[in-house]
Amino acid sequence: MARGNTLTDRRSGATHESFLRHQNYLYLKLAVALCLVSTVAYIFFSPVPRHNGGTWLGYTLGTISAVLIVWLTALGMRKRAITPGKWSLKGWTSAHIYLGLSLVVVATLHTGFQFGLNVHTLAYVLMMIVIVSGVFGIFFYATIPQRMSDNRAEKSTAQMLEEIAALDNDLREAAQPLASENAIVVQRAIDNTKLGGGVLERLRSNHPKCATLQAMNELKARRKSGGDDLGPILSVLERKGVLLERARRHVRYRALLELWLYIHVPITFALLAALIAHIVSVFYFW
Amino acid sequence: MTATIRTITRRANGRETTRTVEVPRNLLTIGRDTTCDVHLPDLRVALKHARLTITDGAFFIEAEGDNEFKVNGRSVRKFEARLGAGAQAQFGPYTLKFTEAAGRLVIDVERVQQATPVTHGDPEKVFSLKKTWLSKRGASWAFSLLIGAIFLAFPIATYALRKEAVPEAVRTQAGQLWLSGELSGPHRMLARDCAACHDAAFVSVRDETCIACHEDTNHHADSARMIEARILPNYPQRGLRVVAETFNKPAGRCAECHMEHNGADGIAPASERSCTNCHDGMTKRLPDAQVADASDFGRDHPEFRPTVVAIADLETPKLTRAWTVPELERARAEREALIKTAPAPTTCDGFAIGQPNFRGLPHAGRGAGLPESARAGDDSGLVFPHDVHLAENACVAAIAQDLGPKAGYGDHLVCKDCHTPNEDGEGFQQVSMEKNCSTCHSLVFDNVGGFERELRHGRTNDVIATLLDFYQARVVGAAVGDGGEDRRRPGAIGQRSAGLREAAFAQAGGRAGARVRAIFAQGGACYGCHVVEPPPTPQSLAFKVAPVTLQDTFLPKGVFDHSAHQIGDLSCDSCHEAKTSRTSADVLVPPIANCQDCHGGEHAMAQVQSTCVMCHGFHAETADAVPMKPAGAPAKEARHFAPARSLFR
Repeated sequence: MARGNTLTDRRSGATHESFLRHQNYLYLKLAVALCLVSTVAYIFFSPVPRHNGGTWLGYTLGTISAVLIVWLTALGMRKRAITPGKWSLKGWTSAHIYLGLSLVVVATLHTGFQFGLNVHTLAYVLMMIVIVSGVFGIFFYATIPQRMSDNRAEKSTAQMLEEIAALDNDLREAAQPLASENAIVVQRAIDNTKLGGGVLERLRSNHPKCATLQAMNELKARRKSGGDDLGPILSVLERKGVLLERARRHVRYRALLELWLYIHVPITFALLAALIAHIVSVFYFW
Repeated sequence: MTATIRTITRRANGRETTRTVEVPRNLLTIGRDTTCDVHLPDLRVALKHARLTITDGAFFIEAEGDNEFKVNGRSVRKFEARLGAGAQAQFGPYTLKFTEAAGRLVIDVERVQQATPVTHGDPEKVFSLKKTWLSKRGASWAFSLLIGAIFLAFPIATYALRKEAVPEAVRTQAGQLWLSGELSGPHRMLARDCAACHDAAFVSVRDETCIACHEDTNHHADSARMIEARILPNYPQRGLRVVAETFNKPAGRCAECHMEHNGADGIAPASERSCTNCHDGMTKRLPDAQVADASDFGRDHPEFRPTVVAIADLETPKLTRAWTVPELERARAEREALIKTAPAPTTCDGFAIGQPNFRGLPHAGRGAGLPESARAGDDSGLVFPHDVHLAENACVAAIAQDLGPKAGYGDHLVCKDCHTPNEDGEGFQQVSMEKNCSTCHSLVFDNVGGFERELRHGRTNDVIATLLDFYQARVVGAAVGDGGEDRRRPGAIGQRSAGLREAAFAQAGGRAGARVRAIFAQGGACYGCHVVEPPPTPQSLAFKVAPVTLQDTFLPKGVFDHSAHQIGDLSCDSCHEAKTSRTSADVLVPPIANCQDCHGGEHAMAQVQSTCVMCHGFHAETADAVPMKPAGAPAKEARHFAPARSLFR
């Protein structure tokens, strides 16, 4: 029955358990414990003349923080190798999040609240930027995939684009009998409608400059003044508008899911460089 | 006339299909409308775009309305050509080629630009940020290289290069990047140059570096013994010590106590722990140490042990710390019990000048007749009863009243009449005969027409010579008659005999000697306050006054700031029992309990929190201090108490 067991295991693994709740918040508990121990040590150990990175507690907290930072960075490599089970990628992600957040306490206590315009504070500030961008990441990863899935209506991204392309063909057909001035508008709707675009464009939730939308508005206005029968073309344009809106929402969701990483990852490497400089400087002028 | 319209369609596999239509008219329409003879189904072509007219041997195209078409790349509205001239025209994406076949116009219609494939391309490109200008890899490299260059390579390069090779401004900038915290006030001037203290990479700051500037600083004690004196660390602390040693932070370095880069904090350690690390129970670890254990001023601090004069001497007095304050107080009580004449005299007539030390009490220390237990005290060599001087209704008070406010006195003497604070207010100027005593204890012995003649205090031989001179002159003058009323008559010179002269000198010598003896003897001006050694023979006048040594500070190992204690209703009496002190042997240092009424240890809740350094300095200032370097040795050979070695051995 080994086979059966495996099947059951797989099935239980498949039931959705978010990276936040992984293993019944195991890593949250670990992180809280680490923060508590650090804080209690900080309160009960009162060094002469004051808390800073150079006391035994300071060095200890600093070493823990540095090791954590290097390990947290390793998620970037680990995520490229997907394995199931206890040491699954989800486990790593969960640990990455909670232990990463614990750095807010551990590394801050390491500083002894001594800040200045120097490499030491630079490393700390970069670390905080990485953590804050990571918090955005957690938020987006916790909220957006559901909305994304609802929005997609079980279509693949390729299908979304194919649908829009098909409607463009329909538009071209439907516009054949139209007078030049109307035909030009439809051609513009086909040629100039853009998906994606620049970073800010992707994050925008409404696109008033969309060629399809503009064409629709223009033709609607013209319908009242008589001339061509614009009914069929307008209905195609409207359908295209709906699909575009959905596709653009998808673009926006993807941008939100990805954008924080463009801060998180480069600043992490900046942090590693600053961390090395920080550690070397301490020992260089020992 | 007819025209032949051949519509050519190219398939994806390269095959062509041609659809041919004959139009039996001379006038052809071109446009998107399905009714047009030349049907061009593209939205860039107007419904009725142009008309083509065939004439004899030629044809003519004219656009309808505002439409245009292209011939040889130029937009035109009209075009005319001979049949068979091989002309071409473009309508939107279509090319129309005009040829002639058997006198008839043949139009080849071909779509040269395929319909723009209606597609938005690669979904990944459309939906993901990957194809935008944003970059992870590039930005990561850029940021980390930039930070590595500015914050690592730049400072290292600056310090690895010879100092002279780098302008000061650049070095300052590099140092700022690594500065871990503000330097303390006196060291702030060094902030521009890290290498001033960190003179070798990966080597902790060496004592030699500190001593290079602080060459006159004495060490606290022998460095090896100081490490022995430390409280044996428990296991976690031992572990920390091993780690510190491993990372080349040996124990006993200057920087172990003097921690920089914490602003004003740390550079002068203030915590009790810095001292009690050794002094708490140190006598167990260093049994031969001459220092009593102390762990907290409020709870565990030895009694004060004043430094008093054992043998007074003008050049090299002998001092002793033989007794604690309670022991001194017991001796004082014993002396008081021995004093025979109890009350101070109320009038100056009965002033006991000439009585041995006023009360029949011999000088302490020199104390013939004093039991050993009563001898503990200060032997300054001076006789001075505080009680007589501070009494409010006795003879001294009467003199003070006589002198009055003009001379600065009130109804009776008070402490400040003699004890003048130092400029810093911390201690007091030394009391002296000239400043403080002579107002009452005058050494004037003659007054000539309002001009006073005074004996020179402190110069015994001078005093004797002055007195001899004075009295001999006066007595001889009287005897030989060179006084005014006994003027010699002219011609009487040489009348006085040599015998008379001799007798006069002998008489003068005798009287002057008597005056000298009187001054030094009981009842004389010196005897009241000083110990006088009589001359070796009765004929001799070689009197000697025993030397006096006034102790400046009885607690030289600590600092007591009197000015800081002018608070509330505290007065001199609060601590010093001077009003009842009958002999100068009494040491008026209060017992430690007096201090502990107000001062507790570092963590006291009910008293002023007081750490060791409130009163004690660490680096010894006395002559017997252990120097930081051997006396006279050049700075290079300076002794450091901890070996300095590289982090990378």
